[in-house]
Amino acid sequence: MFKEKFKYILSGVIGIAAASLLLTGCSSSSSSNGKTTLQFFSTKTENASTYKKLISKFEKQNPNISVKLSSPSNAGTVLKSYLSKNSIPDVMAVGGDANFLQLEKAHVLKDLSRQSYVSKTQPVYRKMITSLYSGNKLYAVPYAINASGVIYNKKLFAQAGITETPTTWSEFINDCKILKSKNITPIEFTFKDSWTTLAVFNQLSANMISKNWINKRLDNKTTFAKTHKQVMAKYLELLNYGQNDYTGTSYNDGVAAFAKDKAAMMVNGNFVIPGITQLNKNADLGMFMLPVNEKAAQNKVTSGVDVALAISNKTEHAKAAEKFVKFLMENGNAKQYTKEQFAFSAIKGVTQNSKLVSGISSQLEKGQVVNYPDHYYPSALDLTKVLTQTGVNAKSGMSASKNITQSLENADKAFNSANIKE
Amino acid sequence: MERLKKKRDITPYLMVLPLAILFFIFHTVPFLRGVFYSFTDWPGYGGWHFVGLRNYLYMFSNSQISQAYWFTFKFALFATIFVNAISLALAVGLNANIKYKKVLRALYFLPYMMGMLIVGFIFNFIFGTMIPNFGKALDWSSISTNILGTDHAWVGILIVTIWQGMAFNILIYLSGLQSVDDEIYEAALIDGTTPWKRFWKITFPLIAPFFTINLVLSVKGYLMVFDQIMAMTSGGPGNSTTSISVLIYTQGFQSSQFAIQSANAVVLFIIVAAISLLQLNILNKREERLQ
Repeated sequence: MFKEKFKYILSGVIGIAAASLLLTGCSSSSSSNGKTTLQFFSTKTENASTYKKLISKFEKQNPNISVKLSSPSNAGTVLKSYLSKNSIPDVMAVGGDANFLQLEKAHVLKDLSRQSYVSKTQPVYRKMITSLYSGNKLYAVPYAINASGVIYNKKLFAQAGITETPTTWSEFINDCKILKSKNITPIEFTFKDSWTTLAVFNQLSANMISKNWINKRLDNKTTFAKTHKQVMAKYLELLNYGQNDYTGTSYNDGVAAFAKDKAAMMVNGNFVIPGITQLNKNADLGMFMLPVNEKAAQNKVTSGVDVALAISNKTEHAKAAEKFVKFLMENGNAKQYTKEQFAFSAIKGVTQNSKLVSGISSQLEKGQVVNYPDHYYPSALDLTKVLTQTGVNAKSGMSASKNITQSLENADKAFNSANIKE
Repeated sequence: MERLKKKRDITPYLMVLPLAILFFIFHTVPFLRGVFYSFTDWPGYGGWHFVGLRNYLYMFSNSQISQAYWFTFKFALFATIFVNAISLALAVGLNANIKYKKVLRALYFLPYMMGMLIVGFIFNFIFGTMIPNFGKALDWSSISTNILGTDHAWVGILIVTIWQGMAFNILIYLSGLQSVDDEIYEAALIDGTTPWKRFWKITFPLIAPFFTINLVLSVKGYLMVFDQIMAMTSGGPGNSTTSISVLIYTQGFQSSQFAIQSANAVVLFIIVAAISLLQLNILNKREERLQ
């Protein structure tokens, strides 16, 4: 009799376990009671508030579609788990980077090149998407653009007697020297959060290294050591003008220090500005591009696709998904996004009018831009580790020439271990 | 009579079964899958092929991985020694006849109640703001920068680990010390022994089993060190604080080297298991000798 009971319990337990396995396997977007539910995935967390406003506007216009936004903080990992489950969200807002490339490689995205809104976008930015893979299909339409450069404190510049922003490297270094001589910290670096090292390095290498370099490097026909000496030298030169504890300062602390007028410049991107103005409403800020070369005309703004919109090729709600993307691409909505998120738009004619970034917006409108080099690096390459080590070496007194050689060697090692052909 | 006997046979199984099934589904199955994928080139999604031992061979040629092993062993060694030495000393102190014994015990146990991530963030503030401000005020250049941004970042992590790890070890040592009969000490006192001798000749042999447990748990835990590093340095600056687990996580999940890092995880498992078994073996023999 007891055996019988035991059997029941056993089968019950196994049944529940099996059911739970099945259930986790099949959670996906579904439509119930005639209403279509779109899954909208975003790799950024900071723009969720704007998306929410746009979504409620869209839902008002289309009462039979509801859009569910998810923007987890570790988006890359979440996307990967979607891919491994072989189910991806209907619409995705991704950056023009390794995360997007992973989706493209998995062949889960729809070609958008024939959509009406595509011709509205600036060709430079479409190119930034298509150049990530071979073929001329457009798997994501560029939406928002970010721009790197130098954010500077106008008050401190005036205090040091600098009236014009620099347009060449030597002018820039000269300004750093003037600031330093007036006991003003020229540049606030925040290398404790290692991604900020690449924000500096990208601007240097984008302006100094030719675009096809990466293809040669991927084929092992060239190395960092052979080509990037000048880039690394300039990177190290900049570190001389950083604050005392530049490797131990976190991004948040650095932004706070900058907002309190403790340093004159930050070398990063336009996305830093909202954080500063939040802390200090009266901050008198401006932005100019980092003048990497001696010839002013050669210098370009390092700018990339911050948000691109993509549609799954497996979605059951293709029409609704297209409608939603088309809605987001409307000029009025793009303008709202640009304004609220302090971004630039990939759509022609949608401009960013804020005074804070007027120093670089003209170059962006002219298309005088170059993409972030790291968008083309293998996704397993983490150059920020190499670059923080360079910073630590410099701080502990290693000679520049030794530091350059060693750092570039490390970069090559890291590249080789990341560059595995699939 | 027959029925009673049967009943006794089956109850333990019933008690173990639910957890055994859960353990099998959520621990053993993923583990076996990990072992399986370590012989493939699976990037974490999509298709895969068998590649034999390629991932394991790659591990030995990759300097980043060997650097992570070197760091982890160094860290585990220092952390184990310091945590056990300090917590044994503190446990002996807390077991003595002192004032506010209970309050002090509770205080020393407090770090264990806090999540490692929170501890990490608190110490981020201490290392990043408090100590440098203190250093600047006193004009001591050596402590006026954030230690987590220097070559000595691992020392910062070690300090936090010791601070938190002690709580649990003190607890175990205390329970060991309380199991020692006071009469033995009284007898020893009458014989006129020194406190130092009493500790090494009486206390330590009697709490040897607790020492074994602590040592094995410490080594195992510190070889798999992860949370405090993620909370404080994310493995930086450079790769200087990248432990094996941190490397497995960052490279495996964020950089699509799932198969290679699965191989790494298998190797780590073998190492941890081997060291633990070795320790148990040696220390158990020692215990027998001491008794």
